[in-house]
Amino acid sequence: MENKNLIRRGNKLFTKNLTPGINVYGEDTIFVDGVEYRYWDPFRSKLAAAILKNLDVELKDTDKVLYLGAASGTTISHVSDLVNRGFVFGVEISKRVAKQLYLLSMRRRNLAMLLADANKPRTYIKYVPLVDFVYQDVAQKNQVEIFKKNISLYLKKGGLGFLALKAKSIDVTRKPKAIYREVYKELLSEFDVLDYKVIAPFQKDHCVFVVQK
Amino acid sequence: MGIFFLNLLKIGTCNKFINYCCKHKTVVYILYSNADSIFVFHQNKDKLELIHSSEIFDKLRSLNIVNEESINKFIENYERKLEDELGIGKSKIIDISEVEDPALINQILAEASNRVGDEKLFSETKFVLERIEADKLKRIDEDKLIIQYNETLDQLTKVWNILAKRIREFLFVKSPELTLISDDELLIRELNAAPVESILEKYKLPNNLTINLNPQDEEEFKELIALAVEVHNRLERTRALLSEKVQRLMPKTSSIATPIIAAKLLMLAGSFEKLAMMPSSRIQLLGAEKALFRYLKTGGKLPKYGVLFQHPDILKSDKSKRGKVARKLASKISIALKQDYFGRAGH
Ligand SMILES: C[S@@+](CC[C@H](N)C(=O)[O-])C[C@H]1O[C@@H](n2cnc3c(N)ncnc32)[C@H](O)[C@@H]1O
Repeated sequence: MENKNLIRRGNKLFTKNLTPGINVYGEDTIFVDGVEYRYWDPFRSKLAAAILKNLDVELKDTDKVLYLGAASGTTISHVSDLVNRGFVFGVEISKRVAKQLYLLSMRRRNLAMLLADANKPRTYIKYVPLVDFVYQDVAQKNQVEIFKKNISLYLKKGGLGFLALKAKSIDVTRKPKAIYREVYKELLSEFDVLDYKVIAPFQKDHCVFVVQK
Repeated sequence: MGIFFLNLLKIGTCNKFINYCCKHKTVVYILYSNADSIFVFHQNKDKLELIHSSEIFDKLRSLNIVNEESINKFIENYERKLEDELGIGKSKIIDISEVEDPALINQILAEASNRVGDEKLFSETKFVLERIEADKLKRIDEDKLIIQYNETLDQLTKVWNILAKRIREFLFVKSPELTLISDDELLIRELNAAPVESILEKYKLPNNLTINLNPQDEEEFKELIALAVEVHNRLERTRALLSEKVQRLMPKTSSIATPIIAAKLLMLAGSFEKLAMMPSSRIQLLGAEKALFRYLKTGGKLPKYGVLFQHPDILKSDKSKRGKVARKLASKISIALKQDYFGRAGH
């Protein structure tokens, strides 16, 4: 991924801190030419893992993003760094972690959070406009269906969708590979699938997909 | 918010719109509210034209009463106005969340974005969401509070057991005879209330090994006991509060399952909603997940019950009949849960 707010040092990723002086979850920071960057841990973020695995995905400085399953905000904080002049809407269903996400959003001018169920995308239609990028990491049994519904309502034509697929939440008893293949086919029937990567060793039994509408 | 709408009319923001509407009584209107603005579109063949947007945002900000209710009310008033004054009935006003066609929705969202300008749209939506979401996040969930108390109770019980064990160890130094009193609570409450000698007397225990420690050590012992008693008192108060709360939230379930088991089921399910929606076969096995997993992986015996095993009906029934009793109990609980869940106030 090429993005001016992302740098690599060896095999490490860093994002330009949107809120200099404040870190989010105790991550390290470094300074490059007087500018602060936050370390992006691939073991804590599936997007970082995917980028290190050379997934073909683009996120631009001005992109508008809909992020489903934002949890307490680990990855979304880096997405907010990356789309510095864009905007991110974070959807999270659990009130407990949504409170942390809310506090994060108070500090970031390009981040807003919604306590909502991504499986019912119409409940936030009054607040979320069309976006350039849909990111999903919800670990639900019907995660592919949720992904398709949200893309259909909120993604611009030509925009990208990123799906972090957790095989175990679809079916614990089946082989992950078989599930990946099936999901690949299902996605292919509706979108262009630009790329996919299994993100071991960073996450077990996860495959990420990039689709284009 | 009603007054607010009149203000808009007064200052003439809507005049152009009204003129337009009067001329085109037959068009389809789509009402779109993007938190800060209301957009009205005219669908002309397959092209969408924005014919009106009222920018209520600055007003909302100055009134400082942005919440979901106030926005909905605003929209309602707006709809009523359209109906009363312009004869545009409800059937012609469509809320965007009810628009069927995703492509049309895409078009509306894009159009709104174009009209208002991205920067404004996003920063203002963020402002509104910060208020609306804070309202949602601040609401108290009684089920979550019960789960908290249940966990507090479990942890306090552990603390109590640790302290009781420590006190017994101490007694082997100071007064081993007292360890013959086997009930922890009784022993510790006695120690807190009276000197060791009189307890020995009261319980007719021998007094051959009991000693007096030096004052500092005696003080340490006393304080340890006081702490344990404090923990136990806390535990009892939490248990009473928990039981009261469970009975209030789930009266029918509590009377069938007992409040303690009802609370445990709630904790294992994670929320009242999830528990109420569970099939009774899962309720029967809540708390037996480990055994169930072992069964699925390696075979062996299918567990018959989870936390239900503490229920008096099961404890008092024959071992051979317990599976059947558990199944019946779970199904009664499942019915009670649905009655409690759907019968809540405000539901
Ligand atoms: C694996 S975590 C996401 C971690 C996060 N993406 C990160 O990397 O920082 C999955 C999250 O999705 C949330 N979730 C699950 N189902 C959801 C739904 N239907 N709608 C919204 N969020 C959901 C969970 O509450 C959980 O916080």
